[in-house]
Amino acid sequence: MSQPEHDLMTRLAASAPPTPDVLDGSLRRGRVLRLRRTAWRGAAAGTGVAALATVAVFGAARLAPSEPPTASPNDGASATQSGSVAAVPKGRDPRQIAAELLAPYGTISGWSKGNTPPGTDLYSFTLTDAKGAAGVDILLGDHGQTNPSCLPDIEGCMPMAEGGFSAVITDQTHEAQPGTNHSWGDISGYVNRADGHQVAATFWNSLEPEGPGVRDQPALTAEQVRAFLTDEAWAEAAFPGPDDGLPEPPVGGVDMLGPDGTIQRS
Amino acid sequence: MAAPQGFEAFVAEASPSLFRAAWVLTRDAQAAEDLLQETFARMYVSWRDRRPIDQPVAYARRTLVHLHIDRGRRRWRSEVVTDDLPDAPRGDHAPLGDRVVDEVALAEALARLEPADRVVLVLRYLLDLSVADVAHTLEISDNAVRTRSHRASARLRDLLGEDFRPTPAPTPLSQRST
Repeated sequence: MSQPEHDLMTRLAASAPPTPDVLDGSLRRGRVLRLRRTAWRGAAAGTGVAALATVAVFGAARLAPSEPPTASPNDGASATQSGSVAAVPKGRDPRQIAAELLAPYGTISGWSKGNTPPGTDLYSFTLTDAKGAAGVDILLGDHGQTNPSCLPDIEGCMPMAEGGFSAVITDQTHEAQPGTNHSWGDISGYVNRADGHQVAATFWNSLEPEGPGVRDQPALTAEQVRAFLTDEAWAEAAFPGPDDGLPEPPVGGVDMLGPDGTIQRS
Repeated sequence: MAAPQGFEAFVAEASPSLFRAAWVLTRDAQAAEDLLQETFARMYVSWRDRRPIDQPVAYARRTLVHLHIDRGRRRWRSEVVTDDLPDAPRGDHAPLGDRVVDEVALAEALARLEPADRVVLVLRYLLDLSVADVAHTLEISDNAVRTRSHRASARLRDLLGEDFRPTPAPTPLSQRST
């Protein structure tokens, strides 16, 4: 083709930097998007408006283990996606709350904080009990609803006495992985609290999302996941700031909790 | 991080051409990477739920350009389109047609097109899509594609002048003077 338009495009494209590896970042965003849409459908069906702006859950990279969180209160700062330190809302460190609530079920290790869309914080860790280790993801954000209520088409939905609702979904779509008989997937759920906050979590039966199963079931049952998510301890959690509406930067790294308690970009 | 079956291979195969398109559209490596990630993230949702995507490459192309258009609307509304190209450093020269045109000037000229026209040029002349495929991708008519393409070319010609014109057909050897 000899058109100048084609020549122009070819020359501009030739100056492009090398194609980045976007797989992990795409998967991480995709998992957040998937449950966001699940929650969005439930809200839109009942209210007739697209109320949800920033919501929920799902996966981050399973990372090399780092130190578990200490029981210290939130120090009021965390790393942003650009690696700088910025103020965060006051409240208890969500990792501390999760560690306390999950203490009866096993040992927690390998905490990490993954990059997610603005207005959401995603924490990942490993929960190990007598049956083995498995990954857990927890995501905090806002659901944007004024009066969240249980609707017929919200799968696994139960109203909460203090307002809002919880929804727990058992996901069995995973295929059996080579070399293992464990094909069962995960249990995930979210709580749309009356105060506008959302807490969501996924408990896997594998160390990494959709990875080879290392045990038959996640460490918690569906009802235990619901109890974990609806615990009033989450009312004290430090939730992320609101979505600023700007496009999110590429997910090129992951924040990890260092031995000294600071969050460092990998 | 594990991925649904086939997804990783698709991302690896589709990434280079999509990234080049995103780069030409945005001229920003981070913005291009962001577009690519968001495109694949949206496809992941269908992939994960086992809702088959017919013609995934075309689907990815469509998603990417619509994301680009949607994200740019707010910024484009504040853009002022002018006929004047800024002075640009002239170092990396290479022939365009039978002329020498600075790459920066090319990028600046492209950036001054209407966003929808810019997208049409990328789809037609970088990704080599037919008019019908561009129309399908942008969900507009074939005539609209032709109109935008013609308008974009005319605009580039205005901006780049003699530096932008069809490459003359080579003179047959038999007609060349010796």
